[in-house]
Amino acid sequence: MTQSHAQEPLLEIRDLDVSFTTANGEVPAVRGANLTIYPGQSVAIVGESGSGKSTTAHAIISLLPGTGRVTGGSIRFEGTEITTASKQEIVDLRGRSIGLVPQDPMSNLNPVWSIGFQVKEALRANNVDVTRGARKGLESALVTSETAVADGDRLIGRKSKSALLDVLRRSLLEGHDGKPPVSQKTADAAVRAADARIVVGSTTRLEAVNALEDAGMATAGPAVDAQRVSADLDDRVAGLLAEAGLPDALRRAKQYPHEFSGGMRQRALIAIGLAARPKLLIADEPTSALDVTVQRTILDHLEGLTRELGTAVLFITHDLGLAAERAEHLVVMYRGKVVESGPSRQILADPRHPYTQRLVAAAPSLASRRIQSAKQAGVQAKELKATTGGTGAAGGRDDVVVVKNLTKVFQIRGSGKQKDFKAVDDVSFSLERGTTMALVGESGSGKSTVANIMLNLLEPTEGSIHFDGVDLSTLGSSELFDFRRRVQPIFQNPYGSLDPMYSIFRTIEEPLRIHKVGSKKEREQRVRELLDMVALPQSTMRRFPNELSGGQRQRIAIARALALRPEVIVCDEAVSALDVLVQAQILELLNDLQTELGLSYLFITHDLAVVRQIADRVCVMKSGRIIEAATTDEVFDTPREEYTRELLGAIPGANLDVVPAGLEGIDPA
Amino acid sequence: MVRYIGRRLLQMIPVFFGATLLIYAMVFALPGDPIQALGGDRGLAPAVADQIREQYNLDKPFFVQYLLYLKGIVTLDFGNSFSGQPVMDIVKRAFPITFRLAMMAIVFEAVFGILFGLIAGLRKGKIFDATVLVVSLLVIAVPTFVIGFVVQFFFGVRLQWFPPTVGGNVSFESLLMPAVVLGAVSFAYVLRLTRTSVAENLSADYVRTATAKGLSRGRVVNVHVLRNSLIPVVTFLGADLGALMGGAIVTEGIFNVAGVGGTLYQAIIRGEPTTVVTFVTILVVVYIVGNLLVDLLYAVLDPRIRYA
Amino acid sequence: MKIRKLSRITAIAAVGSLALAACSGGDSDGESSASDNVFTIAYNSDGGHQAWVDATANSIKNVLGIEVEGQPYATFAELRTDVGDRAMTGAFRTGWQADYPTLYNFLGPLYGTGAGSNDGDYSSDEFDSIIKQGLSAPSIDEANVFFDQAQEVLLADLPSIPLWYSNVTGGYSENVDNVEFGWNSVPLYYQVTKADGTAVLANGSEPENPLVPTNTNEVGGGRIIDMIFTGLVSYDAAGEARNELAESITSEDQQNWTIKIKPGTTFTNGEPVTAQSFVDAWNYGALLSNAQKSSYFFEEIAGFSYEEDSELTGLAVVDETTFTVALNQPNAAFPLQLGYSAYFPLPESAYADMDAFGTAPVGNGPYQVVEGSWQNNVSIELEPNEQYSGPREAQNSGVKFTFYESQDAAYNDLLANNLDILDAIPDSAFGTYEGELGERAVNQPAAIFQSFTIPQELEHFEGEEGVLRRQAISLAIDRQSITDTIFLGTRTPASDFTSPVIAGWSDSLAGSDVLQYDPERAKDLWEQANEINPW
Repeated sequence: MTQSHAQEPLLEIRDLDVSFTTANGEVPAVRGANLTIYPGQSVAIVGESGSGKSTTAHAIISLLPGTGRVTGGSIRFEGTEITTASKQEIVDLRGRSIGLVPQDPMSNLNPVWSIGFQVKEALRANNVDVTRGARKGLESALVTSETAVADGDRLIGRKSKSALLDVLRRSLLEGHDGKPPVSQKTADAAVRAADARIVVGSTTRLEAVNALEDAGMATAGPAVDAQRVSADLDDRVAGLLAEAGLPDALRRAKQYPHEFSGGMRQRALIAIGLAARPKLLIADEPTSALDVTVQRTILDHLEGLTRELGTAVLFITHDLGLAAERAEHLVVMYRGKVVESGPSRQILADPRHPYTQRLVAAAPSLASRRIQSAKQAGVQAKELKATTGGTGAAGGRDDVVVVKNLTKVFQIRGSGKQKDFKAVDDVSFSLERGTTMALVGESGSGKSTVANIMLNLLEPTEGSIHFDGVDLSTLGSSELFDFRRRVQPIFQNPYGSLDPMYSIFRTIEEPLRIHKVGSKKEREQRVRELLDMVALPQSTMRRFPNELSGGQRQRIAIARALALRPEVIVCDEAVSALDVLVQAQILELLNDLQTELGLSYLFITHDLAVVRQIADRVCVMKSGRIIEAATTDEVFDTPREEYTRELLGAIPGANLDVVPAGLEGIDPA
Repeated sequence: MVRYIGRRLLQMIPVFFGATLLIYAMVFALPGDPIQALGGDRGLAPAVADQIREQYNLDKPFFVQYLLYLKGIVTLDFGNSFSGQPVMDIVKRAFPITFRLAMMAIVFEAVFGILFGLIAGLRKGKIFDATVLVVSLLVIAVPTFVIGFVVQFFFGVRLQWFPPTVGGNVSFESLLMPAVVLGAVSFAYVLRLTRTSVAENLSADYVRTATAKGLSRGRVVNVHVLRNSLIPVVTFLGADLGALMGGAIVTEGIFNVAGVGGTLYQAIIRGEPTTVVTFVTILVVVYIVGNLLVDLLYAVLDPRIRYA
Repeated sequence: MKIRKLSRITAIAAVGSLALAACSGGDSDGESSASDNVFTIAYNSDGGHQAWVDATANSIKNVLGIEVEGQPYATFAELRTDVGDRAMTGAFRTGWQADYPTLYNFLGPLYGTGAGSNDGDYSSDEFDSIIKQGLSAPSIDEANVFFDQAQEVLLADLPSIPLWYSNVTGGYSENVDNVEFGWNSVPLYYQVTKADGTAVLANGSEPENPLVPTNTNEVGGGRIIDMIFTGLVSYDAAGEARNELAESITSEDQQNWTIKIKPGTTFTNGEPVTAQSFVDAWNYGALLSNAQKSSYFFEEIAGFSYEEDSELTGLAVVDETTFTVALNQPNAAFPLQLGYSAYFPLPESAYADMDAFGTAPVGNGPYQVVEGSWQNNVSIELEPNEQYSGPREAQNSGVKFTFYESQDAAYNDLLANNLDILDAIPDSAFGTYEGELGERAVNQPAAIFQSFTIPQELEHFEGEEGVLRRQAISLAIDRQSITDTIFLGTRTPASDFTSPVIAGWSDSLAGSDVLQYDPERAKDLWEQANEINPW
């Protein structure tokens, strides 16, 4: 639903220039950016790393690091120019008019103060009246009670709540206003229902009246009126946290950030951002560090809250699918410039700028949608890269790796006694030669542990791995050494997996040297070959990792993995840390190599969208067990397990109608 | 937590016995006969020397001497020094003075070190920061006794703002100069530590979030930056207490403070096992307790630390 | 890769340079001197002697062309241990501070055969007999003639090489007057006056032993003992003895003495001072099992024994105020000794618990310890003793001794007038103190003698060869230069074995030319010795 644009814009950015002073002089980060946000509108800025999207957003509330400055252009908020505002005015603006939900939940919360304290700060600094809540649009329309309540928008505190529940229970059990008394069981159920509806620090008096009357009380007005004590600071904090989706908020507020999970921390950050009910909320990659199911829940919640409150939202993200799903308006930035801007559906359907076109083509979530759509239309989309087209149809291939009943138990030192932690619980699967098997799961599912065991980096507690028919546990140490040549890893972090002290040549040559393959000259030849294979120039040989970009480093990692001509490559989140376009290139490369060399891949990932593109078979892991194992087509078309369905539903852009290129006009039936 | 404290305290017992045995053995192994030295340039008549040796149990084998000493400890009788004073009295006199001196030094280095370090960290790269860095470098580089003598001469003798020595006149005024000199090097360390910590934490993500919440700069610094920056500083201060208690020999000599350092040094020169062992053992205990307190404080400051 | 190579080269370079350093370290001795015999002078480095030992060694080295080195010992205790065990392989530093102002005190205990402090084991019958004659002489002056003769024997034999006499350097603040230093370099505290009437602030050092007269042999405790006790005899500023508690000390044969004491004097606890007080105290000091450090002061009294507990049979109480002393051999200087603290009387209350007495002594001197004022290692306060009437009556309201660990701290206090009397200027201030204190600086001769002893049995130093070598070494030391440069005029080159402060001192003894600086003669004598037995 689009807002009417007859109103004045809430935020207007015109020709913004932001530069950073570095050792090499002034480096422009944003050039001539234009952006307009209307009240209540949701806008997303999409771009890769280095595109200037975060810088633009931070420049609005003057949060640039010391070396950054706004060097040109204007930013107007509610008509006032804020680039020239005084320090005090900016401080007033922050929190109260413009809120921020930052990116990394762990490092953005102060570890030594409790969550409640940090939320309180936001309330106190902005002089928020904690006794009242803004009447939320929809809810106020739903107020059914006729009984008027004085100060209907005042919030219920914890003391008042327990008092009101007591009143409710008593009046139900004793009967009142002509109503007969009810049984104990009915009363309990009614009280429980009211308990769930009345949220401390968040429910207004009027809503409380509603809840009580729905629970069976005849006229709740006077009872509510009788409660003179309103919500205090602690109550409001709990209320905010509850609104953000944190259960058991009163107790949780006293806890510390390290006792929260990632998702909980992000919810706390949302609560802080919205505490003072700002008119604009800047959400900087709010969910990129979280698991995909959690992501969905949080974004849903955020959307609901901001809609109720009428807050405009500015999303910063690199995920096009997510941006399109959650924002009405899309702005695409590339290298500091805004290259395209418009309604999100339109941009998705018809990208004009070549960069936008590339983005749209490469975004995995969109690609995954397109593949699904194409399938429904009976066509094979060109995004589909899997060898078997996702059907997993083996056609007579043998199993190169068979894993049977693999179990791994870790001993964790708890307080005093040791606890056993089963990271991998009775996992069995097989990998066909020349295909790609994806192991999907969220953090803590055990997929990396399985990968490590396959690479012989960990000993399994139980179970066996058969490689080409040979049981690995029967091998002696020198045989195992040989075995390692046939299975090679590619790890996630391109910055960590290459030794900064080694030249590229040395890095790729090392496996050859250790396994004593060929003479010196032959090895050099091989290194050149490998660099060609991964499409890097020969001159890279003499360079060092710190001179290369993330994508280039990951190519080196691939080259290194290929050096010994392995049969199986274990890719442990190999593309998760890369930008979307680079990701697409790497996936392309991996695919080509698979066809050329007949490699088999075990692809570990949390991103189902990527899985759609490249996997033939999928194993979904949860808490150490495989809960679903099938071909990609089956998993995506007819998922059996609830969890799998959740995962699928969590892919950003799941609800979009995306028409694959070249198929316009064909009705996806 | 209580079990943790209990465990740490129990660990002190073997350390205590080990330390006393080790120190006793070391004093025993010192070359030179302390009894001969008592005679001065003249030397003692051998018969008299033997008598004195018998009196102090120095004619018995090492282990017997050690066990006799331990027996005394149980009754809190730490033996006598060669001049006939009970070591317990020497302890009761020397330790409180040094403790007071060390406390004053700690307060000085903590208050000023943190204050200046905070300002320097906030204004990194500016004049104040540069000045403070140079001054702290000088303080670290110049030996303590030079600082001590210079301070004593200027403020005690020339300007006469404070009494040049402490001697028997133990008061806040007279202890002020030695406390400053004693804490000077640590002050420089605390300053630099705070400065680095503050500068680091200023660019932390949560500081940016706090600013984005709309907090004033002052509040951001005091509540968020300072508290987090203090954690390494506090651990340093705690360890420093033990070091200051035992290592103040030079400063105590310059300002004539009758504390642990000087007394211990004299006792070592004379080769007095009773005094040396008692003093060093007490210092060991002080150090251990100090470390325990720092660890506990650490847990208080940083809620991520929880002891089993 | 480059870094690997670099680190390899660095490692080789480091090892190489270490090896080279080790090699070159061995070059200094061996080649240059004709033989590898090194003459060493041992000293304790904690006494600040390094500078002069090195200077002396260089002086000898330059003149005689032999290797001479100082041999430092870390602590005084170690040095004394080796000396006592006769384990020295070279010369060693010796010094002597007189207990009482007689020439004999410098000679007998140091050079008599088998004497307690004869560390070099020197033995000469000629010397011993002259000393004996001196001790039996009827008067001090006649005795001194013999003592001078005895010194001439020493100058010929040179059992130890005399170096210089120490001066006492000190100072006093603007708040006090009448400061004079006694013969033993200790200020005469009792005569110091202070304008504002408060206690005089003096520096001291913590007594190393309980304050028992016969067990105190160091200056920290001795200073206090001297003020809270008084004995038969005391010494004035010039070192002359005068009777205090003694009414008369007489003898016919210089061996059997009759001592009469003045009646009517008391200890501060009311006990009368009687002949018994002396006899009991001396017996206590002499008894072997009491292990008193000054017990050797009684060794010449009949009945003294180092082997077993034995009463001094030579002491006999005649009546309340008279007792007799029988010595083992005549000693004309006996009365002069009696001012030394070992001979002080003790009250009867002391014997019940001598250790307790040592921490709160009861005396009969011009001062008494202010009750509870002795804070160990910090300070002790003395107030005038009302009951005392004698030549050393207190002219001030008391003395407070603050114990300093380092003289530098005390000096700074003096400059700030936070200290009234300083009894020794620290080395660091030698050059400046006279300028800073002006009239209030003190620099006068003291009864302190410095030398280094060459053991009698040391190879190359025995017999005729030995005499030649000793004289050569003595002639090779430029004493004047050293005292001027290193000691800045606070020492005086020695011209005998005693001290100019002592009555009877002479600077024109026969053979004292061997204590002059004469490099030609030194070389000559050394060559002569080499002919007998090459070095």
